[in-house]
Amino acid sequence: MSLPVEVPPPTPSGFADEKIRTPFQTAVRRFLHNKLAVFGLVLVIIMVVIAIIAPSVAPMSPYTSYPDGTTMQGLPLPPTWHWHHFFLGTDSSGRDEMSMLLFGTQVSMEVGFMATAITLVIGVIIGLISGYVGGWLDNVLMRITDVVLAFPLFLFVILLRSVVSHPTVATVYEVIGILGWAGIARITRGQTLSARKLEYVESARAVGVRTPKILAKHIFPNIMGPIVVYATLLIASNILLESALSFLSIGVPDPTVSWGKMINLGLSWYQTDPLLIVWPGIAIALATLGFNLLGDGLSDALNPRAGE
Amino acid sequence: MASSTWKRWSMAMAGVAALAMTAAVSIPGPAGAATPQVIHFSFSSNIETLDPTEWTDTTSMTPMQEIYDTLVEYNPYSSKIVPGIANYSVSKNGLTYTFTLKKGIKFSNGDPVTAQDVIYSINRVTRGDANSSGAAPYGFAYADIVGYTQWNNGGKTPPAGMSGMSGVTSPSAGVVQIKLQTPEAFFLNVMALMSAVIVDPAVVEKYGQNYQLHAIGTGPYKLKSWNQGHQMILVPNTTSWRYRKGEASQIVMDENVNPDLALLRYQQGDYAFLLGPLPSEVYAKILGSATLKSQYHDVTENGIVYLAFNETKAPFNNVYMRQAVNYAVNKQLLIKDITNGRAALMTQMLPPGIPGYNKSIKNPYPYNPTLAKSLLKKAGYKGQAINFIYPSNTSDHIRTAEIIQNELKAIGMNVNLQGTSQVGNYWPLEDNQKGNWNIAWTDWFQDYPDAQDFMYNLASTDACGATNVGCYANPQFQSLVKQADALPQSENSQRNIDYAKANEIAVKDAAWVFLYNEWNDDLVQPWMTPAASGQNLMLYLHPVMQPEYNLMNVKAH
Repeated sequence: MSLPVEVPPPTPSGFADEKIRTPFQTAVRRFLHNKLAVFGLVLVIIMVVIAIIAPSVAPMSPYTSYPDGTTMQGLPLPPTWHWHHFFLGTDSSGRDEMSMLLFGTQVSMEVGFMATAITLVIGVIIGLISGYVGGWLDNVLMRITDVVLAFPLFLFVILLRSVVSHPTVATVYEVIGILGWAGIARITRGQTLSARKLEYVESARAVGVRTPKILAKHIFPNIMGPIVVYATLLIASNILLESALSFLSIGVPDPTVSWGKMINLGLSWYQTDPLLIVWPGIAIALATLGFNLLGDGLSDALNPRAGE
Repeated sequence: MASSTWKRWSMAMAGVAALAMTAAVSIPGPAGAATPQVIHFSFSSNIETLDPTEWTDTTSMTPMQEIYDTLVEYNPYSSKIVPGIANYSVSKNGLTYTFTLKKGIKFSNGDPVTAQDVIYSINRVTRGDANSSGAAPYGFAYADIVGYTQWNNGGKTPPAGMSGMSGVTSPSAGVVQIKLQTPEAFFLNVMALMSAVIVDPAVVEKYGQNYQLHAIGTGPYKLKSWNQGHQMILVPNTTSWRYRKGEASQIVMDENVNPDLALLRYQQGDYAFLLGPLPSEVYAKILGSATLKSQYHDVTENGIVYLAFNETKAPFNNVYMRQAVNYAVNKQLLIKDITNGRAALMTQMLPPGIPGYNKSIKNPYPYNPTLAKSLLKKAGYKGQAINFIYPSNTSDHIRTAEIIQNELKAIGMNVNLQGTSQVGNYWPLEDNQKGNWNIAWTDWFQDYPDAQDFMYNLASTDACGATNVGCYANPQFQSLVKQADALPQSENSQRNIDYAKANEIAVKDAAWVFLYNEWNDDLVQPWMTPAASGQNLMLYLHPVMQPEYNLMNVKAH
């Protein structure tokens, strides 16, 4: 895919807009005009900010079981709508729901971004090499990729995670990251194959520029677009994956707070205290929605004709 | 025209097919309604075993007491010992017990019960055998029998030339005599434990490792099928001396059913009861429903919930560390949030219902994180990782573990939580974690209403590695308890004084983290009735045994 410089046609009145925009600026303009995309971006920014400042913004501790955090009979409290005191209510162990939601953002963002980063590094490198070098190396790498792609990711992640005896948050995103690169490797390879044929790439090769430099300076910048889109969508699915793992009690270890864990503990209370699963459910939905809208928006902005 | 009609027609057919399939796979109606003589209920964990040499847990007691019999047993719904399949007499000095088998007692396969079968059963449970899959955990309960030490050499094969304990003999046909080294006021209670059920040697030898799936006994029910981990079905043993015409035609027990699902099935009329202790979320639903409230029963039990320390190694071989944890855990919070106020604070090793309970110990370790921190410093804790293991089969256990982890973290301890799917009292050692744990959540429900069952079984050095999961050891405690155990029942006041003193020592030692005393509660369907008129069908009223299912009638409903 190549991004030609866009020159607007002359208007009928003869008054031509002389401004020539770079592809990047065009994409940004298209993105900003897409209301849903902007909404997604805003959501993502909010989530990331909350994740960073959670400890200072949370009204109470998410770990403490407050003695007054349950009813006289030790049952969860309903929302009080007082920010500093059980704003959204408590869970069955007397912990503040709002604080847990805010701290849960940290795990979701950390796992989401880090797992995606690991996946990107592995997948992009494999894809670049495979697509550029070609030949038997390409064959071997792609067959390996096919095998990894064929395995059910979720089961694999569960398996790998279960054999670790003292897991941490890092364990979770490393496991997800290491097993999820096949998709991005394929896409990167496809993009690399097209970019390889570009005229200035061929001339760089003819002049004798070394392969790594070609990959880094000429190929990679040209294929970044679809990769960024894919990465954004990947963050969303990694957030969901972490929630699912924590829901099954094989995600982040105690005492780390996770939305998935909140749903796990709240599930058996669905008849008497359904809010215990509603709040973390909304949080997961918003996070996933934000990244998905952002990813779709980026996709439209970078390649507006793709959807037609 | 033809094609669009066909399209509509095929779509309609698809719709009908979909509806039909939905109807076919829809949730089946309650089994109880279709076959009224079935007692159907569930456990939230596994039935661990049907082999008396492996028995330790309360869940397995339920099928075992229906399939098997002991020489002596409890009068239904009481704690009074009465003859089982044998009449008994005790010598004046309390050292010789004579059991005379009743006439005509048969195993469910027709084999008559002989004195040799009794001797075989007792010897087998005190040392396990080549066929049982582990060392007999309750074997030490019979340690007072003459010949126990020589017989129980710890190996897989018996000592050369010995076929059993010398103190267990059959002086004449149908008579078994057991000689003790010192008198034990509770020996008949020990003979009424599930570990002392009488097995058929021919069946045990025949099936070896698979004995459990073919277990045979003299009880009012026999094993029909057991899909281990899922469901066990018992059907009447019509040749049993305890068989009662009118007893339920099937006892169906589901294993590993999550409490919410169990409540749902109970509400649908499928389950006859919901066994407790009921977790908080179920209790919350009961509080909100008049119907459920009317079917709810609760009763205080002689049971304890506590945290054991692994005292065989650092850091909990240090009393300051143990005391620090005791002060750091807020027990009142657990009583409120986990038990919803249904339990009472545990002040010592004994629950209040057991003679020997020390009334002067009121609240030995009130919540005090500041004091806990200073004790931690005194102990010289350097931040090493501490493994806390607990059974993760219910959310109550998970919540307890999380709350405690947080409280310990607050005083500066580095605690890792490890949930395991094993249950039963000394699973910390059965588990893969063998020895690699520091704190373990555990509980204990009385086997018989005697202090020996708690103080000796859970805290004597003899039980180290078995029911004394953390190997608590204190020589003064040990000698007091052994002394009290050996006193005859006529010396009860001295026994109680000794046990009360031993409790003081254990509390000062912070032998365990004393959490709360067990209570129990359940839901019982209105169509479950006692077989004998005038008898009150209140589960768990019987302080020792499980509910007697063969003494229950299932009314049409």
